[in-house]
Amino acid sequence: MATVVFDRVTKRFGRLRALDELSVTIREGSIVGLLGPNGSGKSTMLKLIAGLYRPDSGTVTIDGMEPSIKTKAMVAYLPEIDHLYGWMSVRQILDYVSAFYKDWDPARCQALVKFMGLNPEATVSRLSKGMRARLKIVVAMSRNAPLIILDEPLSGIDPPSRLRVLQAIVSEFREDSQTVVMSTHDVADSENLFSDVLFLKAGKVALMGEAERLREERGKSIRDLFEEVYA
Amino acid sequence: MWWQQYKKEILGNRTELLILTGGYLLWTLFLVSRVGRWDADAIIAAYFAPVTGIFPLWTAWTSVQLYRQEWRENTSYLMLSLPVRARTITSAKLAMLLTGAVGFMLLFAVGGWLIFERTGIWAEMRAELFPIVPLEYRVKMSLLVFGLTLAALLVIALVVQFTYVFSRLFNRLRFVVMGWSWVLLFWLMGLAAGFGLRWLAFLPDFHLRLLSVRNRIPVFEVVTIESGPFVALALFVVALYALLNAVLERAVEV
Repeated sequence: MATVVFDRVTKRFGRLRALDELSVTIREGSIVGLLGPNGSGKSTMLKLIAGLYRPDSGTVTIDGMEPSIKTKAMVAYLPEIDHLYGWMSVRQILDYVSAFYKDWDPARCQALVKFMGLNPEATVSRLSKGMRARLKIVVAMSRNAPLIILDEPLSGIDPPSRLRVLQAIVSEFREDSQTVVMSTHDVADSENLFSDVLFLKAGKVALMGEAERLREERGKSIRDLFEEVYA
Repeated sequence: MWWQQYKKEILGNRTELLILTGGYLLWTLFLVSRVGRWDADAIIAAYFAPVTGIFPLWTAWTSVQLYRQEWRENTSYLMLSLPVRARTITSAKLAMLLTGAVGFMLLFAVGGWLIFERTGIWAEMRAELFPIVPLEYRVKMSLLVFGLTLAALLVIALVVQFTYVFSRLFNRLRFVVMGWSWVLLFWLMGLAAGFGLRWLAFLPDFHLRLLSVRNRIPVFEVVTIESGPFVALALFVVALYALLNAVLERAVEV
């Protein structure tokens, strides 16, 4: 399992502050819903964890370590965009990625490919958007990674694919050994998935807590809270 | 891991490699078909002249493309999230380039032999040159030219790759940054060579036996080349490679 700590992290793009002195601790063993509208800093936060961005100030640590090769081995990262080589077949992608991770589970991978209805010989660029999203989930969830970060895994895909992706996350998550951080601006489908939620607004924490406690305290669903926070 | 990365680079560039190989073969066959119609010298010039430009240009172009495509197609997200040292990625890309270069050089040698054979030059060389030039010398010189060409292509590839990756540190005017850093690096290489000439003079010299044929008699002359500039350039290239890895691993973003 992995604990992620953001300590007064600022990330700028020109004059825009994507993250503004953000301080957050993501507790291990949780499924954290990272919520917010476009431009709130969700993807930036996840890219900082994955080591694809570097903070302008402040520190990001994963189990006490700043993002490095060592932490990259602990993180299974699924970006929002298509990041897999389009000319490869599904099988080639899985062979390629698996070579880099000691925690790759071939049996789980095989089961996920079957569950997602992917043809191992299909070329990635010829897959539909929904099928590409499913493949990305297979790549991320075939590992026993202590930290799984999913950036908008449900964005722009068809309802059957959404369902499959959500089912895969639920079935493959291991509470005793994994932490999942999933960003989305689509709360309706994923509300029940989250043990914790973190609402981001203009690069700052607008609201954070255990999902169940927030529901009880505020007497609202996470979806309603979302509308309240971003009204 | 390295092998997977290398295989990915080779397979990812196979279309370009096949097109170039096909184009080269067609050009060679076309020139062979001109034997007897065109002057032999014109055929040989048409065979050798373009290649001197194509090799470095292909190396430079492919060097940029190997990285540019990663960012253009968003696969940089995957490349930079892999838990490997940058040298695994950079060395695989350089190895892909060298594999292509070696392949093209072998094709070029075979094509050159074919052109020489068909134009009758090979027969002339066999009759007049080969009996007086020892086989050992011919092999050594061929290997030297081969090695120097590969080294030159490697330097071009490394410089271009560094300038591209370095330009990724900037959000604007990346081509300008690339161009200027390219110029700066070659200027620094000149400085390094000068430094080596002056400060590494204590290193032992290279002695190269060069052959010239005078009145059909082979004469060997020993040419002394100072090793200082070459050692300094080699150190510069190693430092540049280390810097490329450091930038890719610690500074560049998706």
